[in-house]
Amino acid sequence: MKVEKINDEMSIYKKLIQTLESNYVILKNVEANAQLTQIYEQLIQYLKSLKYSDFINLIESNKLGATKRVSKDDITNEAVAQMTLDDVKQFITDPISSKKAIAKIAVLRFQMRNSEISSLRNKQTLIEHLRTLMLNRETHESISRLAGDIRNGK
Amino acid sequence: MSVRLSVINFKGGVGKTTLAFHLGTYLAQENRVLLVDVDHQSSLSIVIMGGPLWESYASTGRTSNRIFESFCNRRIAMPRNEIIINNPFHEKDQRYDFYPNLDLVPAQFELDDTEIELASTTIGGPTVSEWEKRTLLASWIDQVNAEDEYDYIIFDCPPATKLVSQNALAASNYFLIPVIPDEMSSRGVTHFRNLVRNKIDAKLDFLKQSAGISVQDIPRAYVPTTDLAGIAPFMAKPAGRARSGLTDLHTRQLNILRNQWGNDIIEPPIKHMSGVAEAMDTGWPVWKTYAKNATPNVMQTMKRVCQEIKSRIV
Repeated sequence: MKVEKINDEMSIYKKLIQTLESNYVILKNVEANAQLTQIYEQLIQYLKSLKYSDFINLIESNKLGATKRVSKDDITNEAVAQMTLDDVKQFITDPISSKKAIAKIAVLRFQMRNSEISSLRNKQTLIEHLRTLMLNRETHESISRLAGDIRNGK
Repeated sequence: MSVRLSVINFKGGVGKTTLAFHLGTYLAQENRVLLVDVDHQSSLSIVIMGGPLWESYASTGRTSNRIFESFCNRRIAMPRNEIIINNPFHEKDQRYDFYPNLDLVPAQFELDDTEIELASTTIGGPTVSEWEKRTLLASWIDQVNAEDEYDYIIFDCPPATKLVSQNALAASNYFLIPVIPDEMSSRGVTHFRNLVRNKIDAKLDFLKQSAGISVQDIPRAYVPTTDLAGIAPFMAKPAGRARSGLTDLHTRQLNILRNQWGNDIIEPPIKHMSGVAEAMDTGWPVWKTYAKNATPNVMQTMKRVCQEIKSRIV
């Protein structure tokens, strides 16, 4: 019975996305304000990128009277310095990590300026930005390994 | 039948990869597109795939390099589909699936060495050899039936006109030249256009005739005459108070280019620092990135340029 309920909810979630997409097409067809259309599209992309469980968490945490989840707010400079890239990845994608703590990682590990962080729209954008910076760091490592192969005559 | 386009200029840093990347993603919204990275710097490959995925292909030689290696080293067979990555954006980040119709052949650093080796390798008669080493890409396109599999094939060329670029041009219906509107970059356009027509296309034709290549041995994807699709002004420097919206230098040089090349110039010019570089950093086109500088205005300009190019490559 429980499985059926989840499936039902998931299909409603899919239906919700479809409805939003239909509305997006209408907005485009009536040539609505370009910025509005863009933000609308980004909202749909964001929702589509969420796992169903994350979506539910998001909704539940915003309900009136909902119990605040314990947030990973306190993180020391030392802890940030000791994190591996995998630790960072795990931390920033954990729904209970606060924007403040993620911002601390952004400053200490990725040399982002506070003004740059505050110019990002929301926590999700900050997370995407950090994902990009991590991928770019991994890319340097890949290049280094491949360039090393050449030097070694492989 | 695919339409094939080389994005090329022998000057580096003019926006070849950025333009090939955006054009590819733009066309892939409604068409089957194959992007072929033949620049050994591999920038296009790394932007689309991200480092780790690119490394897995480059370290196992599943790149465009193998096409050229197959000529230099007869123990290496001409590759088939194994060098094509289907839906590479999704492969990089499984959360997104924006471009299921876009495929990629990545490059690797060793392509630079292979090109040098290619130049000094002769197999059989010298004329036949020179013809064959310039039509390797066309032969590979035949081999994997890419002409029928894709609507558009876009080659991101290195900043050079040596053998790898000549291969791309031999397989292309059109070439597109991105240019920064300053004197130094603009000189390359005049030189390049003549070079493609008088040296590259004509030389291939001469080789074909001299070597007596029979009709059935000419790759189907070989194109004897490569037409100019357009000259795309890129990275024009904005100046807020100027009437043209650009610095004096770039306004003047853009006007010179317009006078010289008329309708060959693709409008509007893409401005520098407009969020395009920020989008490239994220590995997504301006239409899909979260980067804050990719404003609707930037997206609109890029879209107009891509629309214009599309209308010219039919």
